[in-house]
Amino acid sequence: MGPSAGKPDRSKDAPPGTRARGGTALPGAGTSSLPRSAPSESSLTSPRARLRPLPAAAIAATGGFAILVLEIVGARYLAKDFGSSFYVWVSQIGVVMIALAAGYYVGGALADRWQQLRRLAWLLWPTGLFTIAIPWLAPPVLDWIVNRHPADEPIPPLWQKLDPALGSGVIFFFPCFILAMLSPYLIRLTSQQLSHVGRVSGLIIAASTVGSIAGVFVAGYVLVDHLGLSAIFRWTGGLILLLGGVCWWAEPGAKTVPPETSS
Amino acid sequence: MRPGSQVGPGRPGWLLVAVLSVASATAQVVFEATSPYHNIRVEDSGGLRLLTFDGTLQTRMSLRNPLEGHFEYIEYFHLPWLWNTQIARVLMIGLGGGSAQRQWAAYYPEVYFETVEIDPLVVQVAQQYFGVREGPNQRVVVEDGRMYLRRSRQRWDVLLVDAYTENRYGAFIPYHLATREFFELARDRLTTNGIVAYNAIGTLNAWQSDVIGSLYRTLREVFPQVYLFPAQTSQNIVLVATRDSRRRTRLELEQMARVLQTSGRVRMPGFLSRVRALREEPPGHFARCGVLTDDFAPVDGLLTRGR
Repeated sequence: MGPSAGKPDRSKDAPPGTRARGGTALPGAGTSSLPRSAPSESSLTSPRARLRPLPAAAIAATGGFAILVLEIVGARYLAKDFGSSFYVWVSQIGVVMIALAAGYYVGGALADRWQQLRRLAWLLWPTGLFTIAIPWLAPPVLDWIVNRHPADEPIPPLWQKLDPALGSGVIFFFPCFILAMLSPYLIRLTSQQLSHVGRVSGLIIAASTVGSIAGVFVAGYVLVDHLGLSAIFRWTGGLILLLGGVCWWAEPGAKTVPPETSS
Repeated sequence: MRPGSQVGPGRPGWLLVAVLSVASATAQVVFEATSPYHNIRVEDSGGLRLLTFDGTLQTRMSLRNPLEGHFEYIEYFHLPWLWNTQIARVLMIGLGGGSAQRQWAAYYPEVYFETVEIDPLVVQVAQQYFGVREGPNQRVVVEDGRMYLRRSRQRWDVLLVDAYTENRYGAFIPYHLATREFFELARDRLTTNGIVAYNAIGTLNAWQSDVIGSLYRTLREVFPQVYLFPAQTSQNIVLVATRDSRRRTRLELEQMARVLQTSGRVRMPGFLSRVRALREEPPGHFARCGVLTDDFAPVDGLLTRGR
């Protein structure tokens, strides 16, 4: 489990000048012509949007950490509504993996389109606020999911399995989806040249996974024993807000970089 | 309950008696399977039928007489009669090998007894190997206990909770069955004279006493009176919480126990000695234990601490 399978971005290789490609951020729409004769040193990033590897890895690790804290603590949170059934864990893991897959895909596409770290802040800030608000937002929805079954009648076996997945999806899909975008996005912004993409993507994915590993153990061994669930959501939400702030301030283009000619 | 389906000591035609002949000192595995929750094993050893989850004993039952061989703590589930002599409806969370179910069906066949068990395979095993029979007064529902209570509008005179599991890494308590919110829900589903009897694993002063203390304090938040009954032969403590606000003394409870036994209301042998296990004052360190809530219930952390 874990946000590991970030897909290295290799779709767009458009020279910095061509910013055309109007509107179509849709992944898959971008099967544009990769220059067959691309030299290995071909530049991927316009000079002003260049991100250094270590800060990028730190951001990815923090994102990975937050995802797994939400996953672990979330399974516990859902138990008060769906019980400690096996299916709560199954659906929590499943839903987070779906969020990761979707986040990687969309995040990669957005990276090609935006190529600015700063834009991530606009995704992360609402996600942080949402995470902080989970203890208020979730109960009415979870109540509805449980109470739509007639009282004093057994819940059909299918819904015994799917209800926890619904609950988990409503609460945890959105924040995990956004956080998963970080890895492909950061790979895109950090890769300066095609010949470095392997190393950069390896670094970012590894950093994100290391963050996730820390998230599992810190959440399970430490946080749950010392903080209330709503406090954990508040701290995690705060961390995501902070991450948004970092993306805002660390935007490489924000500082004036002396122009340099690529290739 | 139809007489034919009755679980009772006076029925030599009991299915399990047939197995007695093969029972010997060597354990014989009768059944083994893994459910989403446990590795479940049934074995016969030394005239006893044993149920283990993940290698830890859950239930013991004499093959000669299914009403014997059980663990001592099961007998504390009869204590609610001390507060209500008119018990008509009992809900139990956790089935295991059905020791309590067999006893209640045998001793109080007129009481409606319903069990909520989360693991469907446990239900099958209890029916097939431990003589748990469903009938008009014995019903088993497969669901999470808290979900069941939440979605049910029925009222119960007694709620019995036996949902702990234990293995060599320690005891595990489902945290959502130990919080103030859960006990509030339980109280709302009880009749005005309702009683909760809650089996916990641990000791009063050493092993896992922090969890016992937290459970005690949490029950006290919701119920006016909570009584502690530590088992003598195992590390179990049964907490009895009553909606009745009057505190009973040891003397009163023992007198009541005698009345119940002589009138034949409680037929279980040894009832009085179970009542005598009462620990009247909680240990002093309970005052330092925290109340468990849905938001903060560090049961896993507490369980790995001594005190």
